[in-house]
Amino acid sequence: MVKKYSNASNKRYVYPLPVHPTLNSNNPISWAIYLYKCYTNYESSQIAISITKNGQIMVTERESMTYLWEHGFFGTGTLSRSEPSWFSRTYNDDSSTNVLEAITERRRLQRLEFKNEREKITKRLNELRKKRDINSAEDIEGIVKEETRLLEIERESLRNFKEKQESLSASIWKQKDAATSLDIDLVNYESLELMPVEALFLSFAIPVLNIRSDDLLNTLFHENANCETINRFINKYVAYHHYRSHGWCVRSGIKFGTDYLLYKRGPPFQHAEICVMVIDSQASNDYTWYSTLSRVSSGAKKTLLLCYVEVMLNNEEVMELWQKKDLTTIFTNCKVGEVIYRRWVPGKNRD
Amino acid sequence: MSVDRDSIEWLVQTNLLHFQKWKNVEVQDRSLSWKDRKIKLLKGSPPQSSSEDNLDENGTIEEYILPVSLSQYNEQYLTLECLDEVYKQLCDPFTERLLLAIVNDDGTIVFYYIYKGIHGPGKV
Repeated sequence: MVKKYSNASNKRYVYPLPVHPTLNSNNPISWAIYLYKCYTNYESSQIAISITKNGQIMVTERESMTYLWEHGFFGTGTLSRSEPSWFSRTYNDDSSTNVLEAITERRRLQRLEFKNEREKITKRLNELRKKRDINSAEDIEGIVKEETRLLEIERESLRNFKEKQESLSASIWKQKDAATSLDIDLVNYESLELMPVEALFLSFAIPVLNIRSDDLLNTLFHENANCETINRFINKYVAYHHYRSHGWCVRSGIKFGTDYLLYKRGPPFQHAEICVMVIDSQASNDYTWYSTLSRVSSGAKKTLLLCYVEVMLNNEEVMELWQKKDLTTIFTNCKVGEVIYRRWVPGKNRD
Repeated sequence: MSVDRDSIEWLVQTNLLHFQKWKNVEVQDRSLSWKDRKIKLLKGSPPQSSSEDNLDENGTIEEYILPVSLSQYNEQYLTLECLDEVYKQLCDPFTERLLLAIVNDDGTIVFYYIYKGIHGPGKV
């Protein structure tokens, strides 16, 4: 399962974050270049964002959208499942036949075809069974034969269906490199949207956006935003930053009702392994709340991780530092604790 | 009527038309004032019927869509009372369900049907 992705994917997603370390230990000149780049913040101020009045953070330039997706899977295409592929899907360039949405669509059609076929056979079998009840012994032999034949057809179509679905999986990884030359006249309705925590990460931790972290937060939060709102945001960001710095690819967990999903490398490579729920370290919910999360996550074959964030400052201190936008002090006073929560059925699994 | 391109109505409309391939998706004129916001519904037709759909005489289905936005740190406003008002003031009297479009702050929109009370099972 591990080696199925192609060289193209490996090559395309070679950088896990939007930084390009050029440091080569054997070459002193590269040290100088590296230091110079750090000093002048070479990578920063490159990517333009705009913030709508609803607080949505949008990247609209095609190159920047691709850049952020390819360097750590930041953001989501507003008209796509994750990678902003609407443009190539719509205008049908070469790369579009293998984007995730196209594959899902083909799978869906195959499933539909199989279901229709199965329904026809089931109907025919039911008719035969009714006949069997009212007919005499001589006819029954013929009916049984017919039944056997139908069952064989049904099995055959199930085999075909499974084969088709498998061959489709294999073809995903033969993806070509995305076409680079595109007609500029075509309208692109799609933007790449960044979660607030992603935007903060890309302006505070790895500054590549053309906005400073304090300006970003001043735009996203009202001047008189309450303490609760700010604390909630700090908790979410601390968790996000924590997993990003441990090398995970962190994306929104909205589809599974959790805060985040953790990918080992990124969505094109494998499914997310872990669902993360960020919780204030003081919080305790009733047990149905945990059950709800746990059952959904395990139903999608994911592990549920509860991430407790403790801010070791009182509310007044947090608010004061927040006003000054001294994020470093706030974040260095945070602690993260983790718990894995998994259902155990006594009769079934014994580990 | 032109739609404000910053609004969540516009986002949901664009998503339904260009991503989910819905047809005739329009923002409704009627609106409801709730707390400090104005709620507007959208109306449109999905590209194919799911098993539990009730088709009208023309073979098309029209769904009402209620757009709401969800952010990771703000509290939400939707209550039972609010839904009741939406059904009363913004829908036809025989409307059985709404499609709730939750605009997440990561660029995805997730959809949930909200039925008026218990609803019989569809074909599996």
